[in-house]
Amino acid sequence: MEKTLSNKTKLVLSIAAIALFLVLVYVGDNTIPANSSWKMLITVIEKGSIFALVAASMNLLNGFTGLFSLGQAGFMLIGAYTYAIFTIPGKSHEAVYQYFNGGLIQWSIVEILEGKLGIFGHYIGMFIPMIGAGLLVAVVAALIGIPVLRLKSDYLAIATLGFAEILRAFFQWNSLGPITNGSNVLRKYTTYGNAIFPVLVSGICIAIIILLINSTYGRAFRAIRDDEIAAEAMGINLFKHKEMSFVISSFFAGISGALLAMFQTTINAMPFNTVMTYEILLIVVIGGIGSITGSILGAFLFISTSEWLLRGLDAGQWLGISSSLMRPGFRKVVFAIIIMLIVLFYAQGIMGSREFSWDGFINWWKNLPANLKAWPAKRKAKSAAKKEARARKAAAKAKAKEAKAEGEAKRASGEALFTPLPTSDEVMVFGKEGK
Amino acid sequence: MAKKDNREVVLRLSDITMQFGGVVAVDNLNLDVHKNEIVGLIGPNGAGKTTAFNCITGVYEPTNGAVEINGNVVIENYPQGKMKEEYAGKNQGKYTKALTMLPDKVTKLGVARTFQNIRLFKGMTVLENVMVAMHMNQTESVFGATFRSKKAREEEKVMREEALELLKKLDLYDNRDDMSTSLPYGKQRHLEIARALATHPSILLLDEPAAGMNPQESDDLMRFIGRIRDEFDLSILMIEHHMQVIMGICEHIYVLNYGGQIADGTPAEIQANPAVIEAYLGGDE
Repeated sequence: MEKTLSNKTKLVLSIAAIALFLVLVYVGDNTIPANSSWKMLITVIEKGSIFALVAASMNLLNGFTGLFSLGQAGFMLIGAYTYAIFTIPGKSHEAVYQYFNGGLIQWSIVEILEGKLGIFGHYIGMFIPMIGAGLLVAVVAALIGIPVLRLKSDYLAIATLGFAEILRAFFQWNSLGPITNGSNVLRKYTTYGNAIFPVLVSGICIAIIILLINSTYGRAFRAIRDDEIAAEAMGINLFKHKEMSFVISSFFAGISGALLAMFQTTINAMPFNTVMTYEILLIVVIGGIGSITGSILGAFLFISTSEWLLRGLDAGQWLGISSSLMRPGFRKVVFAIIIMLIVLFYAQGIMGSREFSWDGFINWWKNLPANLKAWPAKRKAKSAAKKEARARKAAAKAKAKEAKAEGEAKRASGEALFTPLPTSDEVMVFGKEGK
Repeated sequence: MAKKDNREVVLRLSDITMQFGGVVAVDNLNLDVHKNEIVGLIGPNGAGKTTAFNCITGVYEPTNGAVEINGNVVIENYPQGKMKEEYAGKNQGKYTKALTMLPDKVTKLGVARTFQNIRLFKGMTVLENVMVAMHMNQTESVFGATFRSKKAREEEKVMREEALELLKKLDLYDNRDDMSTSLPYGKQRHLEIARALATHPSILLLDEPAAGMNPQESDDLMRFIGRIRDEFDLSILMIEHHMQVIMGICEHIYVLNYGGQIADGTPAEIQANPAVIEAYLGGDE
């Protein structure tokens, strides 16, 4: 009972679903009071969408081009700093760059454009450093990519990880203080007002990644992932395409870095370390390497569990259970166990390499009642099979026991246990040892 | 033993030597493929046949020798550096600037190949496998392709139609949406050839196309190769172990043993050649 929708219906459905989500986020952020525990939902959506973008960008590299790169946190760092540096209002410089005499750059793009174009200029002023952050990261990635992309698999991972760490150290360098504020935090830069902003920007960026993956270049990327030698023999320039994928992925990592800076309202190079890269990798793996849908799901799952749903484990009470075990840090233990379970039972990630499709969703929805109805019967059959297997095992065990008892009895009575082997000279048991 | 053929030479290897340290995998191979000719390259295991293919397609940089494709020298190398000391062939004293090409450039010049152990793109459908091979002719930039510019959509459409056309010709049309790995073995071989043809080659290199096939299947393959040669106006160089296929289809055969070229000639000549018989069956000792 396969049903397919026309492309037009799918497009309308997609747009409607996204618009509905955006409206809900917008209204939710405006109406939910700041002290409500549901405010956390908005925070999860904000942070989740930012991580969805960086996970999708990492998936483009790891899952679709087959380049095992671990530089994502470093690229986010550049993006975050670029955005922050150019949007700190003029009069705040004195306070932010207190150890560096107010810093080198004394202006903010947002302020300049806002002065000229009003509120419209304010948003343009936010977009320019954000896109600029992406472009700068892309340039840096292009330069790093020239030597690094000649390496393969694990070596590439090590090299990119190394570069990410170098970038982090570089941004904390005291001599760059007038620009990066050394190892001190950057703050007071312009941030967004409503949660719809990161969701919208991430959504557009992920849409672009999806379009790229489904283009002829995306096909070439996947060919490189599947078999480099064959891809090269099909006329695909390996270096050019790898570099392309690396640069594009880094561009989006830069954008997500800028969004993360806005989300956090203060930034510092410290947290952009390898742990952050591993968190992004974790999202990609949990979601499914080679599935953008998986990356999005994985990001929201990861952020919601680690930030929100398991919070109670640290606070001492969770789902009404309280225990002396639940002290700060316990959340991480439970989280680690959950991840192990996911990796054990969903080795391919939640989505594997499948993507969401309206056809698949509708068929799943239509078949859901039937599947649910069939579920008890299925379970019954399964448990019956299990029971039978258990009975068979028990019978075999009993038989063995009986045989053993019989043997014991025979030994007790002095009877021979086996028919003895013929000992005559003519019989050769083994070629070498027999006579 | 120079062969007399008035047809134009499309692929010429001169003095190709491939040394890996002290091991000489291919030793002074000279080989000509004429237009529309089917040439066989045979030899016992480890004779250097696949290495010769890798030298032609740019996977390896030959230690010595030159490769000409359609009259243009595309790969030329004479021993240099460390190799110069180790190499003991006849071009020892010579030194020229090395000219090598990456495999994708060689493919663009019209040399397509298949692989001994099938190398399909596993995560893709049959149609996508063929379309990937057409990617190199795409002129639209990655930006245009991502945002589906008019040109990109047109190119994609042409690509798809052409790929479907090709699949129809090679009897793979019904499998177009199957995953490439779900195809039966014989069809995977056909798909590999289809993918190679999608790069619009003038020379096709087949590396053991009949490997693992029964006599009936190899018979079909033989006819298939002949058919694509005529249909796509190809010159074919093939490595094969099935003597039935080689002798039945090739116009000219080169025999390698331990990297060296021990014979070349028509199938009848090769069958009667004592050196070949010795290489395959062992001589009197």
